[in-house]
Amino acid sequence: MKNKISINSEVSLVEIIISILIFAIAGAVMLNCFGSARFAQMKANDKVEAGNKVQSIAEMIRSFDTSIEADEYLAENFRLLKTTENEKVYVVFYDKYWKLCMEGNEEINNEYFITVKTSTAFADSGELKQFVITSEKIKPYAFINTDKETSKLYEIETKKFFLSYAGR
Amino acid sequence: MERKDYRTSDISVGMGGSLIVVILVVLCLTVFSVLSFSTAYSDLKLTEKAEEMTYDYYKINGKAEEKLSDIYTVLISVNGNLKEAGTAEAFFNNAKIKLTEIYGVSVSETNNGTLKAYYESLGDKNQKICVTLNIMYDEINHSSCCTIETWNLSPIELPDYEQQNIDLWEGFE
Repeated sequence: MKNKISINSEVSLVEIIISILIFAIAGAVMLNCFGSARFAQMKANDKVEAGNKVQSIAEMIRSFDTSIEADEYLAENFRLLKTTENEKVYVVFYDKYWKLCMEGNEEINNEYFITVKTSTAFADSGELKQFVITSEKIKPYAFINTDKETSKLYEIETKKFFLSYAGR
Repeated sequence: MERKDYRTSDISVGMGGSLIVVILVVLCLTVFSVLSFSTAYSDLKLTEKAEEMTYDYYKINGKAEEKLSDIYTVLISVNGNLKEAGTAEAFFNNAKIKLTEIYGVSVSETNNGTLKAYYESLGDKNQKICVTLNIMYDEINHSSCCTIETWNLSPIELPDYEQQNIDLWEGFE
C-alpha cells in the first residue's frame, strides 16, 4: 500500500518556527490585555462595593444629632489609629469578600481598609466637623496602577454641623 | 496479511497552512481580549463617574452645612446683643441685616412675621443644594429658633428642550 504522509512533509520547520514566534508575540500582548481587563473589572467591582460602604458610613454620621453620638459610633465600629488636638483618624479592615475583619485577625485576612479622618472646628453655635472617608486596597492591582503602594478606591469629603443643643 | 496504516491521509494542509491557522487563532483571541478589555474599562469609567458625582454631592452638602453654621452663629450673636430687652421686630431687623452679609444668603419676611433665609450650595457636576430656613423668635424666652424647611438637591442647569424642535412625521393627510 502506498503511504501518504503529506501533512508532515509539507510543513517545514521554518513555518513552525514563524508560527510559534507570531503566537508568542501576539500571546504576550493578549495576555496583557486579558490581565488588564480582569483587573479593571475587579477594580470596578471593588469601587462599587467601596462606594456602598463609604456612603453608608457618611449617612450614619450625618444622621446623628450630636457630635458625641457620632464620636461614639466611630469609637464602637472603628479602631482609633491616630489622634491629635482636634483631629482623629479611625480605621476598619475588610477581607477579600468585603466582610469585616475580626479584631486580631486584621493583619492576616485584610485586603481593604476604610479610614475616617475627623477634624473639628468650633463655633459659637456648635461644632462643625469635617469627615474625610477613604477606602483603599492594601495591595495594588496587577497590570493596572502597579506603580502605587496602595490603590485608592473611593473618597468622600463632607462636613456636618452639630448644634450646641441637640436638634435643629 | 495486509497492515493498515492510519497515518495515511489524503488531506493536505499545504505550504503555509499552519501559519494561516495560527493567524486566525491569534486574530480571534485578539478580538476577544480587546472586547473584554473595552467592557471592563467602560465599567471602570462608569464607576469613576459615579464616584465623582457622589464626591461632589457630599462636598456641596458640606458647604451647605458650613453656611448653616454661619447662620446659626449670626443668629446667636444677634440674640446675644439684644439680650432680654429684645423684641421680635428688633431681632428680625438685626438678623436680616447680619444674614444678608453672609455671601449667597437671601432673606425675606413672611406673612406671619417670621424670616425666611435661602441659600444655594453649588457643585461642579451640575448639582446644587437649595436650603430654605425658617427663623423664628420667642419673645417670652427671648430666644431665636431656626428650622430647616427645605434641603433639596437639584440640577443647576436643566437641558433646554425648547430649542430642539424636531419635525415629527404627522402622518398621511
